[in-house]
Amino acid sequence: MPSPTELHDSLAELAEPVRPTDGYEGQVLRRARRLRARRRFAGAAAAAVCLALVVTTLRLVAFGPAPQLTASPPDGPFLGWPAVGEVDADLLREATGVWNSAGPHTAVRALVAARDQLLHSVVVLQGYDQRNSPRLAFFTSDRTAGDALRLRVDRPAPDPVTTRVVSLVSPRLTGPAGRAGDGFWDTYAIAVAMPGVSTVRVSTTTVDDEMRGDPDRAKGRFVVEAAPGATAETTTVTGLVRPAKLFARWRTAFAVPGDGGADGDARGVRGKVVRRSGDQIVVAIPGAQAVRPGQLAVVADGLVGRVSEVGRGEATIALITSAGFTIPAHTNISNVPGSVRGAGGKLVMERIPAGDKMEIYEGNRVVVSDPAQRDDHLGAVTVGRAAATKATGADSVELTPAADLARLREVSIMTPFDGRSGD
Amino acid sequence: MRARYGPLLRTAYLLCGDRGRAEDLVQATLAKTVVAWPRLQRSENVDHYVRRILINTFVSWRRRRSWWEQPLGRLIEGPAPDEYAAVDQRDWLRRALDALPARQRAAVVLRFYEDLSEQDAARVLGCSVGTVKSLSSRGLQTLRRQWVEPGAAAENEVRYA
Repeated sequence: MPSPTELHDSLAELAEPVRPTDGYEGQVLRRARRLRARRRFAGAAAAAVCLALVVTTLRLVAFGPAPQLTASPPDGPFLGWPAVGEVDADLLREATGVWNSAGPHTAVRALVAARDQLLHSVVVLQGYDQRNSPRLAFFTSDRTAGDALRLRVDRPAPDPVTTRVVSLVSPRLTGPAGRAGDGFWDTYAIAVAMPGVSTVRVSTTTVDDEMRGDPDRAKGRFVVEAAPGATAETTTVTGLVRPAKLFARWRTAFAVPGDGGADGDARGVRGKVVRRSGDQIVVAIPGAQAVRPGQLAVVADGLVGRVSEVGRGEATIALITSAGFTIPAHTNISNVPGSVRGAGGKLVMERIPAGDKMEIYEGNRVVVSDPAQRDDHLGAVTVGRAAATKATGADSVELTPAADLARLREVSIMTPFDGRSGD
Repeated sequence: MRARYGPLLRTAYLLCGDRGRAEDLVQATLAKTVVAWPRLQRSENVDHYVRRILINTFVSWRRRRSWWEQPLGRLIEGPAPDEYAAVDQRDWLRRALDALPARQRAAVVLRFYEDLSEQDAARVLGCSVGTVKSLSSRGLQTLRRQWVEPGAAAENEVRYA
């Protein structure tokens, strides 16, 4: 067996005759040049592939915020948005005729002229009235008169530069002008948004299963949706944009309160909260002639209180949790009646009749009728939700207020329809 | 380059068992060294780096069928006449080295020809000291078996490189 020394010697003896051949330096340098060139080529190719991948990825996949919406240039005092829908000439002619029957209109152009499953026909027109004021008018079918078009609201045209969506939320869109449809369920929202908006979503706090999360697909910038029990005050119109790229996320372009004002609708008079003292707030309502004691003050989430006093340009509102606040109420849909009373910071529904169907479960929505509406159920305002399931045999249950009374900045005071359309 | 070419060539010969391939291996190693020279100038142990390139290039070439001749079959060697014992012994050593797997062969050459310590051999081979011990031990065992019984080894299948 060889020792390591013997093995070393043998290996040295084996390798000893090996001698370098001439010219190896040149060969090494040539190989080094080739190797450098290969590496440069490989590096350049890899960089090109990476660049191509990055460019392709950036073109296909969305990173960062979606591009900002670009407003269409205004069409004089009107919105310069292209018309939505089939823009049926007969429908346009009919709508223009209806509008002209209240007085001649000129330079009439369509914003929407579409057939719809819910409202059958929807037309939105812009034009000058006989006093040369730019106006915006909504028309929908009257189901009780063979789908004849009816003028629902005639408003001043909105600011053509800053407006991103126009909408109409009302229970008075399916029958004769000024008359509500068949009850609670017959309230609808129409919304048309500026070009570039992928989809418009209408959500309302009066419906528990309001849509949330990303929409599955772009529905376009014009929608008609059922909004049971909703009013403009409880409705939010959201415009969403999704770039045409893979994995692009929806971006909210705007989220604004709905607009109301159809003939016959209660009107919300907005007032900023200027003072708060104990269980009362004072709101500024400059020039609001229609505000009276007893009217309801609401925010999008629900009832805030009731006007207790009206002064010069101000209204005092007693909050729902104030001692002595009492108002008839009923549970939503199940219609269990009772009376809601403020109990010094708390809210209790009491005087609930005994009976089989007089159960109230935790989370049930309790609403109050709005005296500004012409119906107990239309535009009923959520006052709160049952904080716990009513005990068997009990005639009261504690409620959690729907509105955040600690953070009130602006409220709407619900006033009855005054006979003037839209203004 | 001139000072190291000869020793590198001899080490490469022990690794390859073929003079042409040894030249090829050393030139490839030195070409890589030239390319990396701007970086290596700041390094303290260039020899160690060059040796490591040599071993890595050898091991990776052995893995490549295109460069390294692979046996197409088994050749059974007959007993050779014992006329030139020294020549015969070198020939047996070369064949025995050829029969070793690449990393065992590299470990044997580094440890018993280059006289590297186990730690240095481990650094060159890029493995642990324990692996070097194992590789060189198994390589040495194979060599000893063939060294002692060259006649008997002739009866075994010999794998040509």
